[in-house]
Amino acid sequence: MPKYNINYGDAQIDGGLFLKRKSVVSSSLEYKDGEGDQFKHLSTFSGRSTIKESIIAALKNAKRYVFFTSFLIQDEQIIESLIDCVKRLKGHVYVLTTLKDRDFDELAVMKGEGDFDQWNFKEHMEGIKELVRNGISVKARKDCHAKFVVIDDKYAIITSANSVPTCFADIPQKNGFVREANPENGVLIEMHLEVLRLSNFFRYIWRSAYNYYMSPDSQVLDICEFSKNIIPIACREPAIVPGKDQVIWTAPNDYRILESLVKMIDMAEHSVCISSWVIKGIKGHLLAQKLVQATERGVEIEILLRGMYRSDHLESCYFLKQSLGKQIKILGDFCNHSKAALVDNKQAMLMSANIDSQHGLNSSVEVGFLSTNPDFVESVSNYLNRLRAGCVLEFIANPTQNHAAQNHATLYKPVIKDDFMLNVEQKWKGRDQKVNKLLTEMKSQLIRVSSPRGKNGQEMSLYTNNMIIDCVRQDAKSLNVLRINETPRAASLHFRHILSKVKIKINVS
Amino acid sequence: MAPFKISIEAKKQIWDTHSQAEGDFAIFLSKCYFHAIEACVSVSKCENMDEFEHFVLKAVVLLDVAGIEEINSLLHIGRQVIKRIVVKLVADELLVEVDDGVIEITKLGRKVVETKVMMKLEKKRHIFHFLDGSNAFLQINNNHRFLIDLQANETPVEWRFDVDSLRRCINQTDGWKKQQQFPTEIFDLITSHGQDLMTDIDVESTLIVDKAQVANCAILVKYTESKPSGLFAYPISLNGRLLGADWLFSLKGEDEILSAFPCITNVPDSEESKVAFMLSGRRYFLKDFDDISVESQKTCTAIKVRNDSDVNWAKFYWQNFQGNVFFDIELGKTIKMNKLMIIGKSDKLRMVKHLYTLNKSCVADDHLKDLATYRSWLSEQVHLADEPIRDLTSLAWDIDNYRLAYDLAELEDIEDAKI
Repeated sequence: MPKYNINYGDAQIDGGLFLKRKSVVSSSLEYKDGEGDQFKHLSTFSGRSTIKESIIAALKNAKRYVFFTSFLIQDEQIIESLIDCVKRLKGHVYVLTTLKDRDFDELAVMKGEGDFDQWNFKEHMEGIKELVRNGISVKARKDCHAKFVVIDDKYAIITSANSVPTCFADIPQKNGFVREANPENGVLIEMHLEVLRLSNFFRYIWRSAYNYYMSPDSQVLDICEFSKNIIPIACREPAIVPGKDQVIWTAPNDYRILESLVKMIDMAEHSVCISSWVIKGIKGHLLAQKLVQATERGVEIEILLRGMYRSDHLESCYFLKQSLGKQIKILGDFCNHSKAALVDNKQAMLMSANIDSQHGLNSSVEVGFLSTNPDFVESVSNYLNRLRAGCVLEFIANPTQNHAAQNHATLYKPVIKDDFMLNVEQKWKGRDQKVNKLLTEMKSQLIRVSSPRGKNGQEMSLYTNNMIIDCVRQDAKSLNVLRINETPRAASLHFRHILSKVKIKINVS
Repeated sequence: MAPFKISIEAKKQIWDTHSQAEGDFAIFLSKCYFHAIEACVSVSKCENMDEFEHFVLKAVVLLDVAGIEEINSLLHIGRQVIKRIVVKLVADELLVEVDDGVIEITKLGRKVVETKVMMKLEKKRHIFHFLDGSNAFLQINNNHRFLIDLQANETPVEWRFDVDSLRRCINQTDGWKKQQQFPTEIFDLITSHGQDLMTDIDVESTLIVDKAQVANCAILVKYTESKPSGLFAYPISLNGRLLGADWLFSLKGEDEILSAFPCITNVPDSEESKVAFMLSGRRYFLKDFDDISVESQKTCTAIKVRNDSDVNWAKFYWQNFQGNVFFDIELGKTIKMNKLMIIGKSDKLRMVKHLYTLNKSCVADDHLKDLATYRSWLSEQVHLADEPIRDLTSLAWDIDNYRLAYDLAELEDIEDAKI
């Protein structure tokens, strides 16, 4: 006789997750980047990247020097263009990027997500070595997540896109699946003073606020250390004229991106739309307070994110959803990496910073562009409309377990779809307490099922938020539990599907 | 010396090893044949001399030929004492009894009177090395393992050694011996027919043996005021690899060097030099040699360049300033390598020199930290003209010195834009 009979599926879960939207506007919505007198909006959507086109064109047209900043550089065409450029200019190409794997790990945030984006530090370093071998000078700042290019002090490109293939193009996978390009955004600006503001920002880092460097040399490929410390950036810049176009940034003790966001939200009368790859650490953050205040004034909030299943991301979404109620809508897609903010169709900003209290708003080096120029605002609005049209997911707070299972976006067939028995036959220390805890978690959490593994695919794991239950399939209707581990890591592990409504018998012997 | 073939890589290695030598120099690559002469010699051993004995010896020198009485009448120290001293001095071979009671001083005795140092002679066999051809004595340094023994049929056709060469060395002054590292303790050559033949020496032990040996050498000749002042020969392997950092033999003094190696004075004519330069110039991808003239001098080869528009000339200039370029030419049986001196007034040459000065002092100095420091360094310290930085950067890039190109480029590119 089984010891426990569980009717899994009807309970509401604590927290929320991204689920399929009921009605979605076709993602084939036509889109064209906007442009104005001294700017051109840039983007990447599946099928085309005007960001990459513009970077390559800018490199081709450079006449005096190039300041190139990207957290990662893996795209072959960008690497080739940089090399062509340095040969043509006979030097004068300056690249600021990442040179240490620990800095990559720190800013890339989660290895699993990095894999999906095909961020690969080893591949990145191969590209960097190729640049150095061909005479390009490379430096790195531990906390630099910005992506921008300045050409001849005449124009600049600010973007959310790393120089990585997934940020620019659809990538066919070995299994036949095509991984669509990340939605990315950017802007090419020609406002003289703002270009100088950005170029002097770069110059300051290059002169004295970097950590590592690789001298251009075809033989020696050593990474040298300039400083262990995170150095403030005190560059010479033009006076800030409120309300005008402005290059902004995050740097140590300099939170212009956050301050600008806060000001924008404070001024919002009708709507705030924010796009970000991730949203993290928002609970208790100034930005959340401002969003709450805005909703109290009747402002509608919309956040467009990548619909990732990772605990920090989901926790922040849940917090906002709980705090802002019906006045916030959080939509998601599978690849979004853009970062933008739009308020009342009057002010717009795009940046390299995610809505991340740890990296982006309060620390790291990030760059953005803020403007009230109607053409620019319209361009960002159009971009966000196009992005929204591709959002097939919506964050839902406290769905039932079964609703989550039915509406979770997955391409795979479920491994477990019928009632089954969990046999806990092996004995280990604290077994009964862990079984009891599992029973408790089943009442308020999702059970996620891993892909089968091992010989004949007999092994698999079930995940709650805090537990990993490793099992081996005994027959079609029963799993033998090998071990139950408690770990916070379980909340973010990849899974194949969410368990739908089933009866689970647990036999403890 | 004999014909000698060596690869360019080996020449480069030899050049790189020695090209940092100070002052003027030339390097000769040659096969050197040696007469390893093994001969019986008397070797002196020295000790301080007794004052009385020295008086007696001096008295005999003064008197030329003397008996006990004559010496005593000069020194007044008593006949018995003088007799006893004379017996000892005869035993020490400083005096010899030529007739009953009549004594005279020996060659060794005269030397002892001069030096006031008591010398005793020992007989032993010793090996001396002489260069074939010039018969110049060469003290082979440390070990002989780099000298290869030759069979009789492997020696040069005219294989001959004049024993008088050894004798002349033995009879040289101590100053000469020290300079040429000839062993100063060798007192005399003992041969079966010599004047100093000792009655108890058998003929066999006095045989002079001439063993033929050979070594490939890189010979560094240093010049002072255009005259050879020092010569150092380093052993090299058959394929041209330098064998260790120690020289095999050395010579000092113009006369000694020229007498041992008269061929080092040979200078090729302009046409030979130009052909040789064209060969080496191709290693630097230089082409179109119509607009150059080449003149060889003792210690360097002067190249006059009238058209250096090709970028490879900049690389060539740079390498030459760095001391990496050498001119090499076959002169009879030797190969001569020396520095190149480029003569010209082109912008390119001037700017490469500027880069060279800049790069050389960059290591110790920080004068490229900003534009102001650089300009002050230019005018106050090196008195160089202020070349356009962008042009210097491009030139540094052309000569593949990317680091220098960036050090220069950053002066302008990374200077804050004026707002």
